[in-house]
Amino acid sequence: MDRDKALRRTSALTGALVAAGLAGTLGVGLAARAADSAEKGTPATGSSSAPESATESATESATDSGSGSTGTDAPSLSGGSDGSGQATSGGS
Amino acid sequence: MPMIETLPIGAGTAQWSVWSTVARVVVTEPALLTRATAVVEAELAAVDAACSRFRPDSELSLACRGGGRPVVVSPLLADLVGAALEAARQTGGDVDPTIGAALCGLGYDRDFAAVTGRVVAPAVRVFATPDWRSVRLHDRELTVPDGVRLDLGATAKAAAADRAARLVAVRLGVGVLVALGGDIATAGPAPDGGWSVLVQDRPGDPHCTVRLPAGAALATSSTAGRTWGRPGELLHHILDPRTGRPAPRVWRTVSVAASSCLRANTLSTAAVVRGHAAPELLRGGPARLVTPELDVLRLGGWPA
Repeated sequence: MDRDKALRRTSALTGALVAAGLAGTLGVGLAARAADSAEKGTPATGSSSAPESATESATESATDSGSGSTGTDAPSLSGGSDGSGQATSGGS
Repeated sequence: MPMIETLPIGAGTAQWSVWSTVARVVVTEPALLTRATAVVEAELAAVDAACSRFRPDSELSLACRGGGRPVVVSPLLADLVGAALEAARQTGGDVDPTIGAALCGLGYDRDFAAVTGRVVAPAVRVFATPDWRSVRLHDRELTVPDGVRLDLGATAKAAAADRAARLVAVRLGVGVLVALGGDIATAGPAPDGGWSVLVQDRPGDPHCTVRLPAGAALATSSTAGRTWGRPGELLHHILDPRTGRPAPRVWRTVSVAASSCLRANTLSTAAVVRGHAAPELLRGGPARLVTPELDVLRLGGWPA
């Protein structure tokens, strides 16, 4: 009888330890993901706060602009007064 | 030859020399020009410190000297390298950041202003490039194979224009155009009628003016600019990664409009490398190609 009781207690303790371990692993994983997102300058949980530094906000820009194809993200151009402009696009 | 800006400097416009070319900032509210210029200058300085291949103390130079071991880099350099690798992936390797050693071997191993006029590179030298897939980037851990020298020139200048424009718009709440030589990014609201951009490679080349909507970008790649070498062998800076040599001059100039300057420059550079197959690559978006004979080909709704 005492042996059965001891086995049940051991099983219960083992189960509790496994559950605690899984919860800890999950917590560590979420924390790592949040830290990783913070390093990349992207909010982990939908924050809409303004960027604090040049690197952070520009990171969002660089990430946003890295994909897309010619056909789907192409802007529509119109003609202007020939020979004028606010800046020149020439080979550099 | 460094790109020279010939347009007048009007209200709301600032201009200065950087990276052997011209930086130009235009804002929709002239009262904010000084602050906008400071934001752009700081961002360009940060990009330079991160990825200049001409500075032995840049993060990129240090990573390339890592002997093939992983190096933890700043978020900024990780983004710039990531952008370069993504450009390589998107273009099937036409825009490859591992051409650094080949460029150095051809004599482009310092700021371009110091390259002009040098006699370099025997004609028979060939520099095969290592392949961009040999470079590993996991989050901020960058591994550059031993002996590989990265050159982010094809993408970092465009990415810098995107970053700087976005920063100015976000911080100051103003419409802005940032031009770095041929690379033009815009952010925030545009002036009435859009941003007006003169598209012209060298003085005397065919030219036109286009208007960009808010947020649009434009990049121009050229086989006529940034040339060096010696009589009978004039080199340019856009290499075919498969040969390690300047791409054949099928096109003198390629201009592409896209939603980001990084994307536009990736396509214009790849078009030069791809040569006769460039129109297929550029289908669907506005592009303008100029042949060595100065004939102009307009694609994808580029205005006549």
